[in-house]
Amino acid sequence: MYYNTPKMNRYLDFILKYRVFVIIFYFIFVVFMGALYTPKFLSSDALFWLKDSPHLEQIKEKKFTTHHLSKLVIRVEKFDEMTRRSLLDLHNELVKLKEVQKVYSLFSHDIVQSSKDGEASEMLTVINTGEIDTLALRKLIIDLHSNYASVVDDDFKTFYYFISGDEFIDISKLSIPGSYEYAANDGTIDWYSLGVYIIAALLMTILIFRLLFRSYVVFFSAAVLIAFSTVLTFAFIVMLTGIETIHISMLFIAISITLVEFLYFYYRWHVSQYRNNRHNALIKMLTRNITPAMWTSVITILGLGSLVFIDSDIIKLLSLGVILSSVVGYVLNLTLLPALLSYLNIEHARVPYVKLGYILLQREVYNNKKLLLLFLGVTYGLIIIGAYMIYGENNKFLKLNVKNEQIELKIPYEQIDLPFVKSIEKFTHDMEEHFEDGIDNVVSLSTIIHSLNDSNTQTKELDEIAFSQALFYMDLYGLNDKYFDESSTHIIINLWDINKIELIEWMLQYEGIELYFIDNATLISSAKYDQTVLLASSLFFALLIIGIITGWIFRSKAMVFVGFTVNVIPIVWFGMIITLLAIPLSLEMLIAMTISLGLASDATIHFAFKYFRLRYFGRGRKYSLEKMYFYSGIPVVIGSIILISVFSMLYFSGIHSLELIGLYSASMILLSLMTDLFVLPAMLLYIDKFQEKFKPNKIV
Amino acid sequence: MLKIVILIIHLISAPLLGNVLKEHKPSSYDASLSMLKSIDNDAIVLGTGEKVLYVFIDPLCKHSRKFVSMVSNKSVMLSKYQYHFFLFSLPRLKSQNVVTAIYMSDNPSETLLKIMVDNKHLSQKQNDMTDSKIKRISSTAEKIGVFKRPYIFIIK
Repeated sequence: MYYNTPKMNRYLDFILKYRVFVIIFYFIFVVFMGALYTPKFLSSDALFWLKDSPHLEQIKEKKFTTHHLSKLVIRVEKFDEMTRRSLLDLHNELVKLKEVQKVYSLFSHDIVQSSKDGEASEMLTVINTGEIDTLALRKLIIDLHSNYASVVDDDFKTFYYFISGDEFIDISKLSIPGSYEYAANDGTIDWYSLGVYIIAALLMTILIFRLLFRSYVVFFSAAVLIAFSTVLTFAFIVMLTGIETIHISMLFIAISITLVEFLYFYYRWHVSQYRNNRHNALIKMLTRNITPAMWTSVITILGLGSLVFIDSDIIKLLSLGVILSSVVGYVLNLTLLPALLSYLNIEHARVPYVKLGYILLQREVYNNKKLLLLFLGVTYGLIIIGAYMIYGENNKFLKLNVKNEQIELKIPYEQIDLPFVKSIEKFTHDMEEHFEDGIDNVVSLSTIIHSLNDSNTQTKELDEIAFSQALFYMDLYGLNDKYFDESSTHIIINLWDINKIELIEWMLQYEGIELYFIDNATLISSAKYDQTVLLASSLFFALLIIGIITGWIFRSKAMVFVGFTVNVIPIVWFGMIITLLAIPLSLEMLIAMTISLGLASDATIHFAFKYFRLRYFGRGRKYSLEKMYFYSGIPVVIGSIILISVFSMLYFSGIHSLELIGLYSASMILLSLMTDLFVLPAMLLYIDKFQEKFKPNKIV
Repeated sequence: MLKIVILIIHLISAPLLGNVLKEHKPSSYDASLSMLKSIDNDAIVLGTGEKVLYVFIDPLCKHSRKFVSMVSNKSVMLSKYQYHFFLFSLPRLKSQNVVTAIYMSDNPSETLLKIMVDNKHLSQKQNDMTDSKIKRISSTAEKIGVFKRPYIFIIK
């Protein structure tokens, strides 16, 4: 319990006696574990989502292959004959690449021409847009722009190439007219860029530590602790789960949690130097942190432990990342840190800028119960809205607004006959009717059959005879491969401006046609859609457990409410922001939430532990708050400042995944810090069971 | 005055003629198929596929030539389909002597390909032997409603 002070003298003597061996042992152990269980890091989350995708399983059962769909956007000054030829050459060059299966561009369209008036022919002619000269092509696009809006803008200056392939292509070797954009992410990490940003982040951390502590000791000890803890955390993950592929941003879970836990210990050691007794500083560091730090590890083990057994690699990795970094960090802080710090000395034990924080206490912002209740009311209102959005009839939580993108589907068939084509036609019609302008156009067997029939002067409505004729012309002009293979037909849906998740949900619920997504981007979106409920339920369950354990630790029902609420506030408010901004759910977002959860649960325990301990020993509310702020608040503030700075820097890294983790984590940690500074102390005051001994409703 | 009378007559007769033309509807699928089968012996057969097509062509018509070239040059089009070609001349192309040359040759399908794909020039004056064949084809084509070449009829 918080009122017991553990006796650590003998333990510390033991550590100090064998401090050389402790340091050497950890060094060898970390090198050994890192070499034996080396994970492979990826910067794309595709693999993680797809591994848990039931749709991918179904696709594998059908023996369909999936592919990457990427978009090349080219901007030219003017569209003349020379530019047209260059663009056509590029199309042909792309088609020839061995890793490319299909290219959808201005030059991939087939135009069906019927016999012109007066010409004595019933024969249909199919020509490719690549065969048409610039003038005729311009006229065609102007006349039928709705058919070409996804591949060329109406000013003829921007052209789009949708490239399907086994992997993303190396665009640098192609001759591309004008300027271009090509977003490719094959998951491999640009270690050079990452290395540059790691160095920049380290320099920034040194600077912040130097400014706050006026010493390099903190940086040195933090670097050792974080490096050892991170290596061991991921080595244990590989050893325990067998999962060798880890998302690069998961590193930040270990780094963030270890850093903040380290700061609780280090800070206490740093500010206890004033008595000029190095042994005393180490004793203070251990005795004041061993119990709350243990409870934070217990909370993560019990709160997130059950999630490890969920059959989802993403949830497993996230929860293990928090649990192991917390436990490993705890063990290192108790063993390695005292051994390491015993060699180091501090010249300036005072921490500047600390008094700035007392402004909050002086203004008595924590005593405004109405404001607290209003804030909590709004937060719980948001929880209810969020639950309705996730668990309601339609999942409105996930949004993915896309503009000018594609979805590729496969529809298996027994036989290509008229009813089959009609079923595709009905599906297309229903989809276009439901989503209206959100769907630009659909390219399918049905559309080419109708196009051939509409131009055929021998037939009128699409009946069996007309259908046979259309199939014959498809054979004649070699169009079959483009629209169907031995067992399935392909559909390309050009999306204009639409919530892709809503479309995917609609398609998954559509009856009357058996369809399969075959582009990875859509499969990932559908996997995210499938897992939202599981992720939300897992998160809610973990928060509830954390709340219950917090209550158990402090033997207080009210602390269940505090533990749950303090952890849920950053997540709920962050959820509201991303829903309003329609930002799609990503692994980076979940990692940011996990980091926030780890930090918030740590802060709850450390804050409450300090506050109630002082209250138990008869200290006044204001004094207890001041000490809580000084010993527990400052490490959280320093840790949060460093993490927000490092994560904000990552936003400018140019590596997409790290940009996202940077943005989301910086936002989440800021929300978490605000909660720790403004809400948690107010809630502790509100539930203070010792208050009857003192004057009510006033900080004394 | 005479001009006005002629104009009025034209104006009145035009819709009537239009109605006459509109009344010339092509035969139904079943009727057409029955008629086509009745002259099947007059067809020049190309390809070994299961699906049977009856195609009316003129050996000098560029569209017919394109069609024959396309199907004869693709092995898949010959293995999947069986083409029953009927030679039916377009009056403006005056191809009767070429049609006669094809029908009178020892191997009509080979000759057809030589003329239509390889652009060989063969011609033979019409005779009684081919006349009856050409008349049977013409009569059937008119009943079915064949105006353009190639005219393609696919058995469903």
